[in-house]
Amino acid sequence: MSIAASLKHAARWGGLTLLLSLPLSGWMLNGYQVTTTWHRPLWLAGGVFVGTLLAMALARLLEMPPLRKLRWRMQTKITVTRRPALPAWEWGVLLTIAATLPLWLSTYWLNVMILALIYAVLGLGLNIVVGLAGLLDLGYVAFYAVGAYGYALGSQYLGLGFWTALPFCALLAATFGTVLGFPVLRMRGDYLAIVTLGFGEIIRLLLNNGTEITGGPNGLPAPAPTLFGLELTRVAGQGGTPWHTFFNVTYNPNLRAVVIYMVLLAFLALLFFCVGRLQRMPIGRAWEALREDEIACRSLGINHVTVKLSAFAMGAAIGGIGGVFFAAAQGFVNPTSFTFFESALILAVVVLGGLGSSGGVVVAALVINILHELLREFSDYRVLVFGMAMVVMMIWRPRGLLSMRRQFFAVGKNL
Amino acid sequence: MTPLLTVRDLSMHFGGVAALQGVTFTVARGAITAIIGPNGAGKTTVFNCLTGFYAAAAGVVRLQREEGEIDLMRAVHPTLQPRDYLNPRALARQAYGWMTGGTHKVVRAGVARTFQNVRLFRDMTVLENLLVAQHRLVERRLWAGILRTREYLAAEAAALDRAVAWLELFGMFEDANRLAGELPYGQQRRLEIIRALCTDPVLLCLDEPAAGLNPRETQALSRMILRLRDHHDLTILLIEHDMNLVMNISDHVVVLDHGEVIASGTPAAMQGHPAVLEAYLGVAEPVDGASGGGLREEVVPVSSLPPVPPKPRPPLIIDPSVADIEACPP
Amino acid sequence: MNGYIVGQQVINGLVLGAIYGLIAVGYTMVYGIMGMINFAHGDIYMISAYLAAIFLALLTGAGVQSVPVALVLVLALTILFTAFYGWTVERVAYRPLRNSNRLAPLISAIGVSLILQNYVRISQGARNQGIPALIEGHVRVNAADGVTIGQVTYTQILIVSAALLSMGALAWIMRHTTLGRSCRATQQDRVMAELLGINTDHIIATVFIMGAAMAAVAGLLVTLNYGSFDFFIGFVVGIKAFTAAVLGGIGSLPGAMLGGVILGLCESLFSGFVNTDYKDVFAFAVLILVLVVRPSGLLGHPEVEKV
Repeated sequence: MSIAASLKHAARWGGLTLLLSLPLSGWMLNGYQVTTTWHRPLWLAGGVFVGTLLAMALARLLEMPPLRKLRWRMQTKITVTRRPALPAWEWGVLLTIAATLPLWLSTYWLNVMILALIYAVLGLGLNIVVGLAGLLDLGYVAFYAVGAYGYALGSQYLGLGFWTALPFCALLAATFGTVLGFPVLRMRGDYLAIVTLGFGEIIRLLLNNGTEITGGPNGLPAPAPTLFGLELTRVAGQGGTPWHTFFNVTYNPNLRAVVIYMVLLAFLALLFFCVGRLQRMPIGRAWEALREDEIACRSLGINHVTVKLSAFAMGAAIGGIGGVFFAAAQGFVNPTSFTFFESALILAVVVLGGLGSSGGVVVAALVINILHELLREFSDYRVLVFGMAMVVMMIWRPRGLLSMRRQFFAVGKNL
Repeated sequence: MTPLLTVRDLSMHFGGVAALQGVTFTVARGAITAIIGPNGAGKTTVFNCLTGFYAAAAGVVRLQREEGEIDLMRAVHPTLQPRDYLNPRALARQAYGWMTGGTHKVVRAGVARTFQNVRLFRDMTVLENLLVAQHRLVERRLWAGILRTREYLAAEAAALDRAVAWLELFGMFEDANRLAGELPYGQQRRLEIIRALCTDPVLLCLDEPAAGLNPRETQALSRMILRLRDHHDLTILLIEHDMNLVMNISDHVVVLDHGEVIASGTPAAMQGHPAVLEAYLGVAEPVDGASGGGLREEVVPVSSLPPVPPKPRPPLIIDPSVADIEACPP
Repeated sequence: MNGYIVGQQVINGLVLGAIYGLIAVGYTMVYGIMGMINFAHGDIYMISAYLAAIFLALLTGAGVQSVPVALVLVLALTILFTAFYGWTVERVAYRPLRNSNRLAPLISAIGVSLILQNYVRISQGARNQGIPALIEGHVRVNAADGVTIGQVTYTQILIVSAALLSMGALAWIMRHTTLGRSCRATQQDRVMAELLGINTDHIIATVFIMGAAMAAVAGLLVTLNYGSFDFFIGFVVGIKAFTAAVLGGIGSLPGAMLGGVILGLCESLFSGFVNTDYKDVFAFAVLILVLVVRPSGLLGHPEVEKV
């Protein structure tokens, strides 16, 4: 495109933005009157104009011969390979570094890391549902909430400890997932998306309104985990022994975060390993095959409903476990942690990491959470940016930023 | 000898339109049966009813296996008997069947199918496509797969061996680790047949297997179908528009028009059959009687075809996974 | 049970249902033509509420005193700009994904929904907004024996008649114009329609515009009736309107209206006699129930799977 044509193109989009944003940004509702803020649509339109120009210049630049190869490399490809993405020793180094983080991170940053790891766990869970099985779950936060409240309520009413809560809440969330998924998953179409969207909102409403049981908007306390039967709090509950008394050391308020971080890290590593294996097992292949072509799957003897349900329930169980970790790390739960935006955030993690790519999802979870901490002053724009990223990713790189890997089988001729 | 598959009085309608009316035919064991008929005659609908994708309004579909007879319609779309209205177990089974559908049960009974428009898992490799078809044959316990127990690995190796054996037979061994979507069209069609074979069927239903193939590929296909019948103990039911193929390989032909069977018999008998000619050409009599008209003109036996000359050079196929075209300067 | 309360709840339910029906039209048309749920549609409705309030404030500020004149002008401007938003959403986020896999447009739609919500939150603030009551007064509805069974405000009458009018106009367009015929053709078979020379891109854009225009009518009417709104109203209303569309039979225009009215009535009676806190839970239960018992809805045709 010539420069004049590019300018015209950019001007068209800028003009469109100006027109579109004129009423909503040009005036701000203030009671029953409006305040005029005309600089805002102008800024927006200018931004779109410059942005379009830059994007077009970049595209033009990548067309040029020396950069063509780079552009070709940048395309997301599917490679069939036997080599793992990272060799075992690199995994070892990564895990060791991650395990030593509590030694030199401040409590604040340790908590940020815990949250990032929780998002990585949730991302891996949702990735099974959305990335592998191709089922759009827009209410994933519901299972997260079931896990968190399951732990808080379980410890309050049933005396459930952290370690028993993990399998219990996983099972509970999976049960919720099964009950919700059964009627919907047998149908074609995208009803699942809207049903899960509604379900996420319903769970939040139930938690918010069921004040007698869930504490309503105020929420509930959630106990800290114990370690080999020893409590990590300053003062133990009835019959318990605090860790520092048992070992006769001074109380370290950081201990709770450190223990949760280490357990979470171990769980994430285990989960990552299991998901990798699952992808290369009949069930994982059946998930991906269902995503590609449901009718072909049925013609091959796959029960599409139970296979989808297994993905949905497994995702729910992982969400539930994430919820338990969240509740234990926060020390309390309330409904504001389980809004639709949370679901959207987890979905953004999966989409940005690349649908179906476990490694990408973990990286995306870490990057998003750390960036969020570093750019606190822009937190208003966070969800807006996620929305834009989702649209852009779907148009530009629906397979994610990294190249996909498929399993290579070394087979020899029989004859 | 009892037929492998018995279809009796199959009826099906979409809204008010009758797609099938009392379709009755049998498929003999170890034979190739072809269903032909003009477009819209209901051929694919028969397939969809057989394989459980559609619930027929009425009719019986029976598959005769060594273990006994299987009522396919009843297995896929069970109907609750009045005496079971209060039986909780029967009700629960009914509810479960209603929730999960039953298409998969047809495959377990031993019927596999392909589709008119190729339905491969395009982003998966050829071998992965074939492993999906064998998902039942590989160890299914979760922990065995995650821990890679010896039994699991053995089962996976066996499945791979089976897949490789079929690939070799169809001359596709070299493509084992390619992505299914990257294959040329003819190979994709072949892969779909191999994938159906990997479910270990007794009856293979092929929906227009020769559509979109060139004459040479069609010839190879017909040799392959004959080979499956003769050496692999398979019964084949196929829908086909390519009369040449149908007349040369099938043992029995069923002609369908407007959802009804208008004739059936040996291929030779069907060629001059007045009802068949009418359905295809709109005339009851052969156009020129002497040497057999209408359909017969299209029929050229495979043996009489001139040998296909070897192509001077293979077509240029650029595989983006191995060649970096843009990197080469002109 | 008091006859007055029942009557009042029925009236409120009908009004609510008319609004759900108007929004459901947008879902049902897009689903019919593209087979996808336009998750951003609820937010298009939310945007229209803001636009209506802004235009109303502008006109009042400019000295327009007559309520009918102001309403007509606001309606026209709101429809215009909301339709513009609908068109833009389709053009930017859905058209590039026309031939991609099934999941991509859905995720893109969620992205658009987040963008719209947060754009409004950032530019207009997160707090509740509102407009003054414009139309005062009501009429009493009496039963045959002279007992009052409810009262209908003029605003409610306006809502129901405006909803009926715009639905009628839409139905007329779909039935009697070339555009409507092209829409129906594209809905039945997009490829075939394209082969016959219909510009399906254009038709799909038109469907988004029409859906957005109906949502704009709903947005203005809701603002008039309830007076207050925030940037998140599109979310729950969107789910409910989709429920209405499914209930009536997705893809069917009269179904959308019928589904809206039934859902509105049920919800109003539920919140009147059972519990207000859980009325959203109730609507959601209706959605699940319809999907289990009759996925094709009341007026829809059972979907025949293409194998």
